[in-house]
Amino acid sequence: MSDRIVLNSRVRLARNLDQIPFPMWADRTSSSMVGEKVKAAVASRTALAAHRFYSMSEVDPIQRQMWVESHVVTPDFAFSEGEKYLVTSDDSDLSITVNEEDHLRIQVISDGLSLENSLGLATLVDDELETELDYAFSKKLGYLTACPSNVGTGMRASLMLHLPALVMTGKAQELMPILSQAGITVRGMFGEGAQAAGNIFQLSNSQTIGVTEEGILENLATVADQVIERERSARKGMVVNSKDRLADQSYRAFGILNSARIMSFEEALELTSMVRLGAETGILTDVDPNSLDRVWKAMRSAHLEKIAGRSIGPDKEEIVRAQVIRSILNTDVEEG
Amino acid sequence: MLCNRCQKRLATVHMTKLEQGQLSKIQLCDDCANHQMGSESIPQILSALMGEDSPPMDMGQIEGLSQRVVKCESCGSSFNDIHETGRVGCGDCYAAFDENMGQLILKVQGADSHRGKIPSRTGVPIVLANRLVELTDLLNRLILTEDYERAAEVRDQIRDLQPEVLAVDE
Ligand SMILES: [Zn+2]
Ligand SMILES: [Zn+2]
Repeated sequence: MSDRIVLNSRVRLARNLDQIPFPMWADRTSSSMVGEKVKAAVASRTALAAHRFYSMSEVDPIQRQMWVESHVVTPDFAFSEGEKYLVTSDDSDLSITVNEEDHLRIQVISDGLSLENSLGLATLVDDELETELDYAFSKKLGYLTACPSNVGTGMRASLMLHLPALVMTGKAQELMPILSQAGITVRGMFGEGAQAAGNIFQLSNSQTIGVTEEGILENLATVADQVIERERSARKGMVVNSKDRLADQSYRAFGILNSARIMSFEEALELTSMVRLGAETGILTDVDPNSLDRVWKAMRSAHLEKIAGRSIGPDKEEIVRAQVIRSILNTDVEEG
Repeated sequence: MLCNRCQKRLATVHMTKLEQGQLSKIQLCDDCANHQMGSESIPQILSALMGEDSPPMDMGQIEGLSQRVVKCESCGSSFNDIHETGRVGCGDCYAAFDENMGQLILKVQGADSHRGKIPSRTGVPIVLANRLVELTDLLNRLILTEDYERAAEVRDQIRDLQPEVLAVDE
C-alpha cells in the first residue's frame, strides 16, 4: 500500500542587506538598489547562471498567478505595486524573492519528503550570494529580519501533509496542542485549523533562534513522522472498521470528479482528497494516484488558463476546471 | 466584507500594514492570509502577552526596560513604529533598541541567542571561536569516556586552531 502523505517540502531562508532599510520602510531608490545588487550577484555566480531575474511588474499576470498558485510567491508580492523581483528558472525548485517582507527570501520547494535536500540547495545558494552581498547579521541574534519572528537562522521549514483519515476520524483536532507543544506551527493550506479544505495541512517550525538549521529540520521531521504514523493507523482503522463506507465515499467522490460539468476549486480539493484516500488504501482501484497529482496541479485557476492557452474569466473557470479534470482522469484510464 | 486580495472569499483576518509611510488596514480571507507564510503579527503576539484588554502598549511600561534611544540612526524608526507595525525598520534597529528587541524576541521565540549558520565572510572570527568551543567540549567528552586516541587528535586540532583565533581577535 503506497501513500503520498507528504505532498511537498519547503525550506525558506530570510536574508537582508546591511545598511539598507527593510523593504516595508525602504523608498524606491533603495528598493531598486537592492534589486540591482541581487541581479549583479546572481549574474556573477556560475552556479546560478541558469536562473532568470524577473521584475514582477513586467511579468504576464497569468505567469504571476501561476507562481502564486505554486506557492513560489504570495499574492501580495505578485500583484502589489513596487520594486519587486524574482529569481527562478522553469526547471528548478529554487526561487529567490527580492523586496518581499525581507530583502531576500531564498526558497526551495520540492515534491515529497526532502527537507535535507531542500536545505542543502538553499544553503548552497545562500553561500553563493553571500560572497557578493553584505548581509545584516549580528553575532548575538544571527540573521536580522524584518519580522522578529524570523530572526536567528531566518529559516522556515515546512511540510505539506495530506491527512484525510485524521480529519475524518476527528483526531486532527487532538493533535494540534501536541504539535504546538513540540514547537510546530500548523496551518490549513486552504483554510484554518482542523477545517482545512482538502485535508491539507502545513507543518512548520515556530522557532528560528536558539536552534541550528539541522535541529529545526530534525524536530520537524520527527514530529511529522509521528503525524504520518497516526494518519496511517487511522487509515488502517477505517479500512477495518468502515470499509464499505470508505468505499462508498471514495467511489462517489470519483464519480462526481469524473462526471461533473461545473467544479469549484474548493469542491475539487475535497473530492480529490477523498479519491486519494480511497486509492491509497487500496479500496478504490479505478484511478492511478499519479493522475490525481496531475489533477491537483491543473485545477488551480492560472494553471487552467495555461492549459487552455487563453484567459478564461471567473464565470467560465469552473466549467473549464470540470473539463480538464475529466480529461486527465479519462486519458489515464485509457492509457492504463 | 470580501477579502482585499482575491475578492472571492469572506475576510476573516484583519491586518494593519505600512506602505510608503501610510498605515492601511487590509482584510484577508484565511486562504490569502495563509499564503503570507511566516509573517505572524507581532502586534498580535504582543497584545496576547500583555493581556487582551490592555490599551496599546507603551514600551516604557514594561518592567526593566529603559528606552534610551528614541529613533534608529540609520532608518529613523522608533521602537513604537516597530511595535505598531510588527516590522523592524532596518538591521541597525536591532542594535539601537537592543534591550527592547532582545526582550521581544525572547517572549516571541523563547530564546534570544543565535546558534545556527554564520556567514563565513562577516563571521570568520565567530566561526573559529565556536569551532574552538565545540572541539573543547568534544575533548572533555572523549577524556571522560577514556577515548585517549581520539582525544589526542582533537587536542592537536585545538592547538592548530588557537593561533588563528588569536590572530583574528587582534
Ligand atoms: Zn482571499
Ligand atoms: Zn533602523
